[in-house]
Amino acid sequence: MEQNAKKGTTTLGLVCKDGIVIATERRATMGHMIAHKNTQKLFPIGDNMCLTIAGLVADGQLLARYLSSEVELYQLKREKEMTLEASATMLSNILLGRRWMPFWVGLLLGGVDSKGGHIYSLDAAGGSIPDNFATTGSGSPFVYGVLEDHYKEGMSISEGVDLAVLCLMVSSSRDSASGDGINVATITEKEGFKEISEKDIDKKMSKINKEKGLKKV
Amino acid sequence: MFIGRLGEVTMQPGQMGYDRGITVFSPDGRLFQVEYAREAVKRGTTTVGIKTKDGVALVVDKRITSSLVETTSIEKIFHIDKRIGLATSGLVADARVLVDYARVVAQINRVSYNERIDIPTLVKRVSDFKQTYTQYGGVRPFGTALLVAGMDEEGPHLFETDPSGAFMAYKAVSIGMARDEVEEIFEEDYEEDMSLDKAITLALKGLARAGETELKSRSLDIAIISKEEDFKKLSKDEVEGYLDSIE
Repeated sequence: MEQNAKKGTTTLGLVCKDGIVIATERRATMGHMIAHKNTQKLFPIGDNMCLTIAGLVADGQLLARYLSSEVELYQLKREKEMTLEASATMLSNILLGRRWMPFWVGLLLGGVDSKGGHIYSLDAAGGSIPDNFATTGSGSPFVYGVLEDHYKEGMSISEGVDLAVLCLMVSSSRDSASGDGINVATITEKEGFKEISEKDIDKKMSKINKEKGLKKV
Repeated sequence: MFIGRLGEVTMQPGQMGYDRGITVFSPDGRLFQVEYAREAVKRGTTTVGIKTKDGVALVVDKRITSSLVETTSIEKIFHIDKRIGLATSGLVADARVLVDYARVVAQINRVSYNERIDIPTLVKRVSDFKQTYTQYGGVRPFGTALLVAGMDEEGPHLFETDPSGAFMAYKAVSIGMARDEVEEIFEEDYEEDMSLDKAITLALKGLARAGETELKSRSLDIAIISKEEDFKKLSKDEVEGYLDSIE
């Protein structure tokens, strides 16, 4: 199972001044083989949230479907948007319910609610921790290094996007299980969920490539 | 056959038989057992709820007839969640089952979402539970109406639920024996921007004028949930204070 599992990933989330930035790369691996080069690891949930998955792709996708329908039901029944705290708690309960046959995942739940922007990091055992920034997957040690140095509280969304691109370029160049392009999305109160276009990401990568010599991914 | 606001029924011989099982409709589309349950509420103690922008109050005259009764043992207002209370009229034993249910629903919400339940959601859940006792065989409806009051993120709320599982939000409402009389007074004197103190006084005025006997602090229960304070039952002295203010 573990041999064939598609895992090894980099995902990251940042709380910024007007919302959050959340990003992943696109590689899925099976052992030493790159199994997929265009993997969707970023799932919009409702209108104000987004989930990223790392670990077993099947488990992550299932949880994204669970969460998405739970959030929609909650909002239909209560006529109000679910808070990040509420969905993170619910997700944590689902994960902990599988204590003895866990979902093999590392999740980031990010979004904006009435209390502002939030990033929650969730582990397979059900631990749920909010933070200003978080990263999961095999590339996370490299990303933490960059974030500890570059992250600033209250940074703007556009600064956040630049930082996310940099982080994923770093992890893609040092983690063999990360690479093959990136997905970056922002969630703000004004605009909700918005994915950054291929073109804009390419521009940002070229700039970083020029400045730091990091390879584009 | 005639039906009043709370389901006042005068049975005619031709309708006999449609009140045996609760799941059986009468030919004109009514569920008699549910209407009888509403009758139980009509015979209950008069219970009032009143909402202002600063909070909500529940007031019950417990109608204690004997001086030997330990008044604190008669409960008609219940604490459901930190900022939610509930008052009953009708069969108190039935109400206690619903109180237990509402308390559990409130706690399950905290475990599931790490959030206090909002009042409309709680009212819907309790009403859904009541509704199941009007549609399945071998049971009878709850002979009780509830006033659910509380504060949540949206502000103050006041709901009434009836035995059919229907519910409505009110600015000021009464259930039980003297409902009509109290509501008449509310319709005249209620003002949306009145203070919570004034609202409690108005509620007591309504109860005093509607009831046959004089209001006494030992048989009165008042609970408030306000911006400043969580659910709180007033002490005997505080109740006394409000009683003085209406005289």
